[in-house]
Amino acid sequence: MKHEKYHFCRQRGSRGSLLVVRHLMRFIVAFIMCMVLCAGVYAGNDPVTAKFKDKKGKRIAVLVKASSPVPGSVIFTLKLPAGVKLEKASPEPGKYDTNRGEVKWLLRGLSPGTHKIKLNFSKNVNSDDLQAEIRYLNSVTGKLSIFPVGK
Amino acid sequence: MTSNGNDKTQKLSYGGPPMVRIDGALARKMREDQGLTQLYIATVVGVTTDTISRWENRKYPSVKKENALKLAEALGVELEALLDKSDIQENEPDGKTEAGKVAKVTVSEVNDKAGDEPVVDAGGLIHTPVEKQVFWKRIVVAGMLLVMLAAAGFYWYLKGDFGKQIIITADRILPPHVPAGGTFPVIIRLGVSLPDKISLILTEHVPEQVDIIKAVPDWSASTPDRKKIKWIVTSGSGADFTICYMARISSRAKKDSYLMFQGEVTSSLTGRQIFQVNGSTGVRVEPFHWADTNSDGQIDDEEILRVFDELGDRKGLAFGLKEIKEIWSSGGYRWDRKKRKYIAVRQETGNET
Repeated sequence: MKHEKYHFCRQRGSRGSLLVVRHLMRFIVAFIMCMVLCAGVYAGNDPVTAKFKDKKGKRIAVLVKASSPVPGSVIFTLKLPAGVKLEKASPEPGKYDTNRGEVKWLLRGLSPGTHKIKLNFSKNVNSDDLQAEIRYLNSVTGKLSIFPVGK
Repeated sequence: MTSNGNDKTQKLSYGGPPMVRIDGALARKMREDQGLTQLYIATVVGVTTDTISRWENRKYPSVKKENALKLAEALGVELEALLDKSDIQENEPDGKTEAGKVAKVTVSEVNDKAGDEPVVDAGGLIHTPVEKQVFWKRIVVAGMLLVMLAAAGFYWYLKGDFGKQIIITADRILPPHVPAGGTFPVIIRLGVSLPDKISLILTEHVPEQVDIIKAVPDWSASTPDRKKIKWIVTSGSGADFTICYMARISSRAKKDSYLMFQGEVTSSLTGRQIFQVNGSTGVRVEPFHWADTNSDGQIDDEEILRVFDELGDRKGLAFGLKEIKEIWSSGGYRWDRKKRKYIAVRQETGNET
């Protein structure tokens, strides 16, 4: 009888720990879902995003999408592949380091909407070979935000 | 005549003279049987003929016991003979005036309609339904007045500035360093906790080696040497507002010296309370551009973004944004002490478009 009682207690103990594990798992899953959701919401709230409009060619355009509240100023940085030069661009870049193949635009007073940066290269390029990013200061945190340009 | 009235008539529950209820019709009959006029009775009792007429015309009028005794004496009977059989007493005046008349009729009507019997409490006090109604009406009215008063006080508390602590915040933004002879911007952000418009006085004390060149908005008063400058500004709808000025450090300022700024804000609403301007308190005299916050000899992306975000839209002051953009574009700069300006220096050998 005593043994049976002990066995029963052990059973209850294992069930209890199983329940704890189950609740813990549920909590972890809920937490991860919340994080994913928050990340999605956060990503959706990026005030400035950019992507290459064209896949390949000497002329490639970049679409910069700004949504309210638009940062006061945004820097678009483009890193050229080796042997490729930027012959012309509209608007004109503010900084061009030919040694490093790095071109920068300081975009000021962007209005909400889509803006186009037209790029003319010395030869055909694939947008996959281009590295570009958007930089601006987060209006809430004041910290520098850096986002890659989509392809 | 003796007072043979009911003992209950000697007591009053809510104050006023002792009252008795007489049989009006009986009083009229007794008077007419004896051939007495209302004028005679009125004269003996000491009331008007109207009052006598009213007593007689009503079934059981309430009369002051003193008058009832005089009436009984005038009619040559004991008071008890005149009393209403139920002999109920009311705490109502006999109503010599028109107002009293109205009140009396109302009391009678209420009693007739209610049909409630008077209650005698443990102390022998009589509580008639009308007395109770009046008492509770007074309580209710007093309660309502109290509630209205409390509501008005609460509204005043919420609407007004009473009990609200006005908090004024002031933060100064200064560059970490400026070369001797160089100009730099100073920003002071003001914030008020109240949504209403209030006027503030900002007083800024600048170091001896610093001259204020221009301010937006323009200052309201200053000492002749411009070392102490005051702005009178009005906050609008609780929004923060900013004062910005350009200053120049004397070319004789010693390198690595630290120049301290001090400021305070006052308002008529805060009395004698003075709010200190917080934030940056000083600049160091160093040969670096004020926008080059990390003193690395160039203006990087983060630094130019910060300058343009902060000062790009401000009109009326020359911050040297074009010069800053040139330095950012070139990759470096140097401070020309004689020309008192920054010269963009190309650190890279590449071509610029």
